[in-house]
Amino acid sequence: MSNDHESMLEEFLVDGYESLDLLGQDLVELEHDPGSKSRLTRAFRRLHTIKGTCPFFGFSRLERLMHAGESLLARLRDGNARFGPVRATALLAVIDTAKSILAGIEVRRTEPEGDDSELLTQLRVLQEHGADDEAVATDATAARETADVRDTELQGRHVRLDVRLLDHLVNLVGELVLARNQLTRTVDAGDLAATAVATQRVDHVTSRLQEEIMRTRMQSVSALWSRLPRIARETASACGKQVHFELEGSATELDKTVVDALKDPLTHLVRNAVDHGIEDPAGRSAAGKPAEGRLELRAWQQGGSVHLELRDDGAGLAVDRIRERALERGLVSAEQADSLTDRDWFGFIFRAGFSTATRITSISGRGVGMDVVETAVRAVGGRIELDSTPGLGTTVHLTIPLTLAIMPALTVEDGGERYAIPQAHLEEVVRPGPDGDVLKRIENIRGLSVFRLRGQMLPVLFLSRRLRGEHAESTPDVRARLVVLRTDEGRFGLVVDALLDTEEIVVKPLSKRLRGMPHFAGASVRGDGRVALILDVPSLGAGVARPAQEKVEVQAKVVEDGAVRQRMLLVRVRPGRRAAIPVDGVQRIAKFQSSAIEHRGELDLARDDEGALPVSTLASATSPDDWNPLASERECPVLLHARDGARWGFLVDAVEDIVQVDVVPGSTCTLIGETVIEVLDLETAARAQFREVA
Amino acid sequence: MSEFRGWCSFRVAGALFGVEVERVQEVVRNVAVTRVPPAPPAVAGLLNLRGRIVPVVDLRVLLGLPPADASQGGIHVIVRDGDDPVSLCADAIADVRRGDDIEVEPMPESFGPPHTELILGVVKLGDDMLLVLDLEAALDRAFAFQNTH
Repeated sequence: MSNDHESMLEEFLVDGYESLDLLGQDLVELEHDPGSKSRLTRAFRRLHTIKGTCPFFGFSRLERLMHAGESLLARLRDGNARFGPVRATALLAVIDTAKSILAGIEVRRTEPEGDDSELLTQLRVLQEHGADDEAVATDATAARETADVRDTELQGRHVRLDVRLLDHLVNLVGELVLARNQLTRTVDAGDLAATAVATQRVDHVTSRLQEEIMRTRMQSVSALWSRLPRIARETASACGKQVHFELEGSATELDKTVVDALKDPLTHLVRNAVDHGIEDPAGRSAAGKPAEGRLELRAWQQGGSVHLELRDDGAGLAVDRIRERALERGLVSAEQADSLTDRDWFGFIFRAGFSTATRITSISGRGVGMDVVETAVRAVGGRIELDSTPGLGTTVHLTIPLTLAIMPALTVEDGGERYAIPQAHLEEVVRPGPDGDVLKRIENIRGLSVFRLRGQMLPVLFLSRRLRGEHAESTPDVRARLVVLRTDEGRFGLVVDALLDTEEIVVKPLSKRLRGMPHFAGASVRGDGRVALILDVPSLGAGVARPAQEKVEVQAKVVEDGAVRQRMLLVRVRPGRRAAIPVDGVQRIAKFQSSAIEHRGELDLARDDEGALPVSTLASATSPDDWNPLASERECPVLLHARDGARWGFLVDAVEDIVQVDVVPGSTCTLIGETVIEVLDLETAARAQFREVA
Repeated sequence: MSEFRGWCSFRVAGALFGVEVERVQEVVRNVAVTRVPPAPPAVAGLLNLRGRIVPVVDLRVLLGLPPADASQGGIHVIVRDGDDPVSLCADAIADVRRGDDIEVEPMPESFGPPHTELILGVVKLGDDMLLVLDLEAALDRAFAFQNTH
């Protein structure tokens, strides 16, 4: 086969698939508005065009089929027959058969064999019978299998382009060549000033070129949803429901990769909405709603994101059923259950294998699905949210980034390599404090590194340890920075060796062989030609990120009753005894192995960077107590107190938390939650110790 | 076994290795390699090949030898792994050995170094012996992730 023929055939296939998809949409719309002459004419023309090209390639089977469909449409157009569900179903069957023929051609390059006589006969019967006689239809069409709506590979490889855009690109490339020539000339001449100008020009043209090239990847969302009305219709008829589907915002554009990735999830959402969301006509009448359900899909662009919203006016999500199912499956404990909001419960829908459907249909209700939808949406960097009002319906909201190929990112350095952090996850960069070193302000509580950011505990990760293992050598210097990152799970801080710059990076996939590797979302090439890995922030922060609590005031402030709001360290002084300790009195929290603490005369001494540190248990310092944590090998948390150059360490059993509590000055206890907790003041305890030593 | 037309040969720690020349896309040198900390040890990192991100397999590490001195650079034999290029980092390139009469013989039993399973066979070339690398086995071994991740 010659190349010309080959490319014409490819074009025919791409056009064919597209026309058939659009025809499907026309037919579903016609069912609601059978009188629309313009739609009928358009549908007729679509079939006619395919039919017209068939003889050229010798596709006689397809031609016969198109001819039969076209004849029926011609009768409908001329008003000699009425467009009803039976005729619509028959015409949709024509589309399915035609698509399967195209798929066969795509694979084998010749028309596949097949027997369409049943369908052709049916079409002829429908065509010959009079205006209102829909009864002639046999059950054959109803029993026909649901169309295979999967994408063909060919459609994934082609993009439609506006020629004006192409012209514009050619112009820009011309400009780029001129700019390059100018640059080489100025460099050869050694003219620095002129080189700077030329470089600027190259820069300018490149950004414009980038913009335009990205536009070629943009596709209207109609490519994403042209087949959705059909899916809604078929699902509805399979479950005996009536649904009217409305689409709005089809001019919205999305990156082609995103469009391709969202096809299946959207199909699933539509099926779900019809099958589970919208009630059957009897149920709807009982609820005082029109028998026909409404399904709306809206798309719009806002900032760097595209929003897709699917809204149904069905029964809504049954929170009590989700709750029942979650408790039954042990996904949540009874105590936890009481504190969950409706929104939290909706989240369970996205768990793998979670289904509240009381009956299992062939279409949905098997508990596979919503988790897959969420995974697919996340894979393209999007978010999915669900809202539902009992009796009024459910809304699924998708937020999708416009493009995946280029994004702004912060480049950081760690362990001598460069990494890019997508700006979308970046919340802030913590500037070094007056002491010049953020690392000093990272505390270790219960084995976790935390940073106090405006009164909130922020879990902290060290990038080098995360990538190279817990024991990775890391020699952070004054350039080290803490970046605050956000994921769906919450926030966390990431310590990196240094910050470099912020730039737009081109995202490149990692080789297939390396995709099993955690923590990387891809790679990009830096200005110097080196590769920089792009960090996968959600994977880095998994299990560590914490939801941000409501903002709390940093400064102690006076509240009612003369009580002062203070930050307290919640510790287990010894097993079975808890106390709250004002944070102000604690210089820092250290950890020592009990074997590293020496016994010298009357004193127990630990050693740290600043020298010998006398230690005693906080328990014995505040009341007679013989608890001795040094008796066996263990790691002991030590609260350091320093005053006038003298230091003392208090051994405790565990440091549990940092809390904000209201304390009346001078009182020896406070309420934390429902529990009365003893308040210990390190300064008083230390004074006693110092006196003893002296 | 004379269906192979030739081998692109290169040296690793003194030994001469070869891969089927059809699998080799090009040879590059003097490129910066970005390390990928959590990758398996034999994966030295990534390099930028005209905008494509190419993983680099350090043949020394793969063969159980200490990694090459990074400052020495080494050469990158870019081979095709399906659609993806992969670099095999060797000490030095030798040349392309061609000929229909060259026979690949099975590995002599006495040879017995620890990595015989990565070698398809040997080709005698005068005094030298070319070890024909089993590319699939070598790549599978290099990219085998431990389950600890």
